[in-house]
Amino acid sequence: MVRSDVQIGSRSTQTVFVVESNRNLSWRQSKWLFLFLAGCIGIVSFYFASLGAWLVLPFTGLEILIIGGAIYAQSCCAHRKQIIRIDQSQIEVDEPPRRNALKIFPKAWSKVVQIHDNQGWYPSRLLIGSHGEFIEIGKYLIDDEREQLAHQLRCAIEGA
Amino acid sequence: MSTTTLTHDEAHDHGAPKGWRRWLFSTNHKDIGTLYLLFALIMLFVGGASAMLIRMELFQPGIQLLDPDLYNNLVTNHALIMIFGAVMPAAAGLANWMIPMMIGAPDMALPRMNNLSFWILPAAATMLLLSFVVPFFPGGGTQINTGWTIYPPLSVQVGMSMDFLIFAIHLLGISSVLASINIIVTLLNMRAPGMKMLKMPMFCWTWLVTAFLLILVVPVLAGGVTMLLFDRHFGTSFFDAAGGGDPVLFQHLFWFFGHPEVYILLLPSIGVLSHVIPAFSRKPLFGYNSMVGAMIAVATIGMVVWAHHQYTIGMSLGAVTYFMIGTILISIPVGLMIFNFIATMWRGAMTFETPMLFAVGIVLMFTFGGLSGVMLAVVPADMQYHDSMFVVAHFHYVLMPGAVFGLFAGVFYWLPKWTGHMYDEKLGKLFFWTNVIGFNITFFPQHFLGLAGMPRRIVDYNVMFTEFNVISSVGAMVFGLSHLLLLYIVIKTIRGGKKAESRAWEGAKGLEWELDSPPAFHTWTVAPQIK
Repeated sequence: MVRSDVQIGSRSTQTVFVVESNRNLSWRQSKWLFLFLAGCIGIVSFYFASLGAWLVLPFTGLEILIIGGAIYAQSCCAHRKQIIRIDQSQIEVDEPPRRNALKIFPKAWSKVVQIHDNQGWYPSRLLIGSHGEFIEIGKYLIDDEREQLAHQLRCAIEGA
Repeated sequence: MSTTTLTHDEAHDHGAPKGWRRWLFSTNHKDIGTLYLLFALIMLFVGGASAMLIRMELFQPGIQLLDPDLYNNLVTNHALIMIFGAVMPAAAGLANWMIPMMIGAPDMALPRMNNLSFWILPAAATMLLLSFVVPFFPGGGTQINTGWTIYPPLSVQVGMSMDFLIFAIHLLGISSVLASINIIVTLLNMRAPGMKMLKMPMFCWTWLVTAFLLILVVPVLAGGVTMLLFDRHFGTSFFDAAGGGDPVLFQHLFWFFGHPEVYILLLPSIGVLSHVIPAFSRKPLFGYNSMVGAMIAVATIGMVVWAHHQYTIGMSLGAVTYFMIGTILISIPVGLMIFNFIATMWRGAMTFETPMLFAVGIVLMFTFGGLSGVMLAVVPADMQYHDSMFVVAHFHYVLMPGAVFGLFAGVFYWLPKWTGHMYDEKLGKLFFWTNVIGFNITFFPQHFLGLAGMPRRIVDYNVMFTEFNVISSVGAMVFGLSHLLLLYIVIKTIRGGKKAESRAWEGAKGLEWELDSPPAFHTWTVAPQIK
């Protein structure tokens, strides 16, 4: 999903786009989901371990690790975010909380590039950049949202 | 500033996936769903062939085709192939195809893990088939004559084929757990905006509960078979009374997995029914919330009543009473589901296309299997029926209509969506009737055989059981061969037929019907509208 906002400061007008992926769980809820699953599996495994079937424990331990990894990996994907700031002279693209992800392009030379797959095998791609250096925007958006974002970016870049 | 639009061909990023690489490396949920369904279909025929061999042997008293160990190995393989090779992968195939489309997600949450969880399956199936083949070679040891329960001490004495089987069970378990984790994460975190949990399609709910069950019970089975492996090769005595172990412990470990496994097989089909019956009754599902509650109740109670499979081992009176009451309690939420289905059909504008025929068949025959289940839940009665052909009849009446017919209903319901073509309705109905009649001729007489005292897992029988066995075997041939018709219908539909509309069935509701038939390789280019 895309949120856009025009911020008017003392020196310049800045248009900000916040691009986020769709998600249903917050980090806190993801943690609770993991704890719930691990708790249920733990109860089962310790019950059988208490009966003498201690070899159940390594399997449940491994499973809890895989579940934790899967929930963490998916939550990381689901919490991806890009912030695009467009002011009078430049375009900033940041991907918090990633460090060193900030990219700055001169607005006058910037291009918005859309790549469509005619055969329908792949989703479309939206790139922004200049001087041969491009970064992908809104990889996790659906095509329709990506189309709208491309239009809004063009308006913001041309209209400012 | 300038703007540019390129096509993929111009960008030369990556071409369309082609040939075997498309399938081997696929991370697309539709391709992986197709692979699961194809695998399940192949295994259905392998498992079906073993069942037909069993029934051919039982056509007459005496030993005709198979020696006792080979007969029991076929019984073992038939069960394992049908459960792990056919029904579970078929349900996973439906899940892969339908869940992302139903919740408005572009794909499964973890696509690479999805690919892995499928490709483990052929390796596991190979191991399973090797366990059958190995004893035919010099030094291969004895056949797996234990049945699918692989109880020690017999399973400790079997030859190296048991090691192949244990390895196969591990691989199958890994595949199931990975698929389950993927489904849970997808359903809980990738629903379209506005789709609250209690707006989720019922098929998704059933798979959510199924996936929870799988991750809870599979590690216990994995631990159990590993302990068996240790007893066989590493000198431990987990299940050896002479070394201080207890063979009954294995039974507890096995049935802690084995009983919920019944619901693992059953629930996805209940989910299919929750779409098929409203679609062909042209009414919304009666009691959505109660259905969700009933499903969770079935799964929860089902987790803690496993020992009703072990009434004859000599448990304490208190334990036996607990397991009996718990088991009978399950009939309450199951009954509620059945009543919800009947209430959905009540005064609906019903039509009887093939998916609906299967749905009605399930309601009738699964209820029958449930009733014989209540008989088996009662301890004094079970003491008489235990290990008899009555049990064989009971669980086939539960699993064939409850699981397999539900999957057939799902395949016929969604086949137009998958292929873009309508299947041949006349052939579909012919398949339904031959299948259902064949099924009943096969398994209904087995109730009488069991009540008259014919034991199961024995290659020979008393001549007084001949008539019912002849009827059962003739029915089995009709039943088995009818599946060739299913194969023909599926191939014919894939190859062509009347073009299916996006909403292939007039009364069908749900996001999946807003997509083209067949849907594009990548779906949801436009945000789904949740009503």
